[in-house]
Amino acid sequence: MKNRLKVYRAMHDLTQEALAGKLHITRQTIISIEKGQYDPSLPLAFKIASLFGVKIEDIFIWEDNKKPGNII
Amino acid sequence: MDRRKFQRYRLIVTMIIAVLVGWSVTGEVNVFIPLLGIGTGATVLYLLKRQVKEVMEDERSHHIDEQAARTAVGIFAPAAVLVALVLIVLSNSVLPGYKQAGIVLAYSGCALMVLYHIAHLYHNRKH
Repeated sequence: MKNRLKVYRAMHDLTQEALAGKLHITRQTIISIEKGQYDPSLPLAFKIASLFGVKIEDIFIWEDNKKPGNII
Repeated sequence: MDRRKFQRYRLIVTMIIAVLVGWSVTGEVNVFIPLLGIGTGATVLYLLKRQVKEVMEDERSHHIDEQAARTAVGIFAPAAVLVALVLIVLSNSVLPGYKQAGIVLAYSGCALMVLYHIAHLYHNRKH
């Protein structure tokens, strides 16, 4: 999943280590999220959004590859 | 203590325990020595881990552990059964003396599959 975590981290002048410390996760997890290799759980996503004072949708971008109107 | 330092200490303690166990298997050593070594090593590692200030595990590392365990079970169980079958069948002719090893391997593979299904049932009910 694409995300703007790196952008928000830079806006708040936080290193990966500092952000990991605030979220009580490892720096490796921050790196993986920023690269789009790992999608955080819902609680963690809410925690990240809350930390930056924004909504989840502002940070994490959901791209629906399915055609419109095609539920299955 | 930081994470890298703890990983170095963990490697050293693991090596010491491995040497103790290896020595007890090959030499005529009292079985309590390696048991004591394992117990002491586990205690030391637990106490050292409590001193680490950084976050050691999080949801991503747990996810990776789950995936790795699933892969290992998926590979080991059928491989163990296949190898056991080969050993038992060939023990009558080409590989005499390997029947016991094949039986132990077969039971190990079966035990792993039973344990996996019990754990799967438990977690299925929990979630």
